[in-house]
Amino acid sequence: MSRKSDPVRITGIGQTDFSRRSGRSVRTLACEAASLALADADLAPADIDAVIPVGGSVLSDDLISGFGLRTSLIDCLPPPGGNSGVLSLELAEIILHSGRASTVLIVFARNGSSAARVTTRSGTLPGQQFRTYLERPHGWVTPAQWYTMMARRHELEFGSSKAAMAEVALTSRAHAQLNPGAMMHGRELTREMYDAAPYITDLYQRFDCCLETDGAVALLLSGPDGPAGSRPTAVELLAVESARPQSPDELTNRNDWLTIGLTSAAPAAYERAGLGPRDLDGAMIYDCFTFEVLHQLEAGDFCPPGGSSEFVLSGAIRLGGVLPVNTHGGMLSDGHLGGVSHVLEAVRQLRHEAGARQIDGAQVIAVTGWGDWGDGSMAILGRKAG
Amino acid sequence: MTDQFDWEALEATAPELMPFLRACQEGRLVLPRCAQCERHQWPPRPLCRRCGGDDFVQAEVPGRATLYSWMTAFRAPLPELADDVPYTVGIVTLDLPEQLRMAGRIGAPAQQAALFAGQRLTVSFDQARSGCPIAVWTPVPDLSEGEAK
Repeated sequence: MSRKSDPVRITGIGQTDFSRRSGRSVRTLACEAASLALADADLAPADIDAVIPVGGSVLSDDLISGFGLRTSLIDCLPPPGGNSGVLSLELAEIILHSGRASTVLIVFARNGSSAARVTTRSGTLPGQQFRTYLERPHGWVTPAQWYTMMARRHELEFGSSKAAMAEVALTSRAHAQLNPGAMMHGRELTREMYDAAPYITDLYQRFDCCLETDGAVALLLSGPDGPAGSRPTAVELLAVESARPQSPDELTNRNDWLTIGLTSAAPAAYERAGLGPRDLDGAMIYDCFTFEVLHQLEAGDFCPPGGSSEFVLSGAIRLGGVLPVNTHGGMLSDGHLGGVSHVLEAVRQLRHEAGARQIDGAQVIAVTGWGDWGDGSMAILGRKAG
Repeated sequence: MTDQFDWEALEATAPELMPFLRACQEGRLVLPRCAQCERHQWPPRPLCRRCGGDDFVQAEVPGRATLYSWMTAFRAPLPELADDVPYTVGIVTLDLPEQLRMAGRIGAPAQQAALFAGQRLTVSFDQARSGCPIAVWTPVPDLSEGEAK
C-alpha cells in the first residue's frame, strides 16, 4: 500500500529539437515536448491535473487553449530564474503529496536564442532597482560579469581555476559527441580552441559560457497512487531541496560569497535520501558557466571547498570517472533549457536508455539547479526495478 | 556631458536610492544610517537589518575603501558601453565598521593585472553614458609598504 510520503515518480519525458532558430512559437514547442512526454508515459492531455510552466515564456493558459488541458488545472508558476528547473520538481512533489493532483506536467519552452536572449531575460529577475541604478551604470550587467566577481573571490582564496574551467568545457563537449541531439554534436572542442577563444571578461572566455537555445522539454510526474507510466523500471524522486543564499537579490553585501543556496540544499537532500555524495553514480549540474560547475561541486560536497580543480583535473567528471557530470553535454554543449534538460538526462540514465553515453549500472543521480546570484537546489533521482 | 538622467523614473521606481545618487552628483558619498541603532546600511532596505528600525538618516561617509573583488569586461554588453571596453568594475569595502560593500568603476590607472585584494582606493565621481551619477574608485599608493616587513 502506498503512503503519501512515498516517492513520486517521473513517468514521462519529451523534448523537441534544440536549435539556434526554431522558426516556431514557444506554444508550439511546448505542445510538442508535452505530447512526446505524454506518449512516453502512455497518458493523454486530460490525465494532467497540474501544470508547472518553468521559465515564463509559456504559461498554462497557452496549454489549456492550445493543447487541450483541463480548465480546472492546478497552475503553479515558479520564479523566473534558472533554479526553477529543479525547484519545479519540489513543487510537483508538494502538489502530488497533497493528493490534489495525480499527474503533473512540468514544461519549459523558450526561443532563448532567436528571441528571448539573456540580456532580455535578466530584466525579469529580482532586485531590478539595484541592477538599474547601482550596477548597470558601472557596466556590471551580465551573468558572465556577475559570476566573474564570484570566481575572482574563489581565485583569491584558493588559486586559479582556469585549467579546471577548461576541463569542464572540454568534458561537456566530449560528452555531447555521444549525444546525437546535442547542439554541439559533431563539433569537437580542443584545448587549443578553448584557449584561443575571445575573452568576455578577464576570467571567462567564449567556451566558458553556455549556449542559447530555441527548444522545449517536458516531464510528467505521478504520485504514489497515480499512473505508473509505460516503463518496467520506475524513476523515483528520492529527495529534492532548494534554498536561497543570504541576500539573494544582491551580491555585494552577502557575508560569504562562496556560501550559496546549494550549500544548505545539498546536505538537506542527502539527509532526506539517506545517501551521501559518494553514493551517486553521476550528477547533472546547472552549467550556465564553467566556473559555476566547480562552485557547485564544492557546495554540493562532491569535493572539499577549494578542491574542485583537483577533482575535475583528475578526470572525475568524465564518463568513466568517479562522478560523470552532464553526460548529455549540459547547457555548455547540449543546450540551455533552464536546467530541465538535466532532469531528462538523469531519467534517461536511470532508465539505462542513454545509449553511447550510458553510465554503467546507474542507480542514483543528483541534479542541481542554480539561478540568479546563487539560488540553489538539489534533486536526487533513483532507479527502481519493477 | 549632458545630464539626461531620468530622475523622475528613479523617484517613481526606487526613491530609496535618490539620496545616494543625488549626493554622488554633488561629489559626496552618502548612505542611509538607522536613526535607532546608528548602523549604516547598504544597499537601502525597508528595515534596518540589525534592529528592524524603519527610520533612516542620510549620513556622509568617508570616500575610502579597499578592493574586495573585480571584473574586467572585454565585451560591451550594452551599446552604451561600447566606447568603454575594456573597463574594470570593482566591489569595494567601505572604511566603515559595518564593512559595507558597493560596486563601482575602477578608475585609471587601473591596470587590471596590478589590482589586488585589499588594495586601498579613494573615491571620485563621474557620470555614466546614461547620465546616471557613479562612484569611481582609484587605487592609491600603499604608503604602509615596507613598514610591514
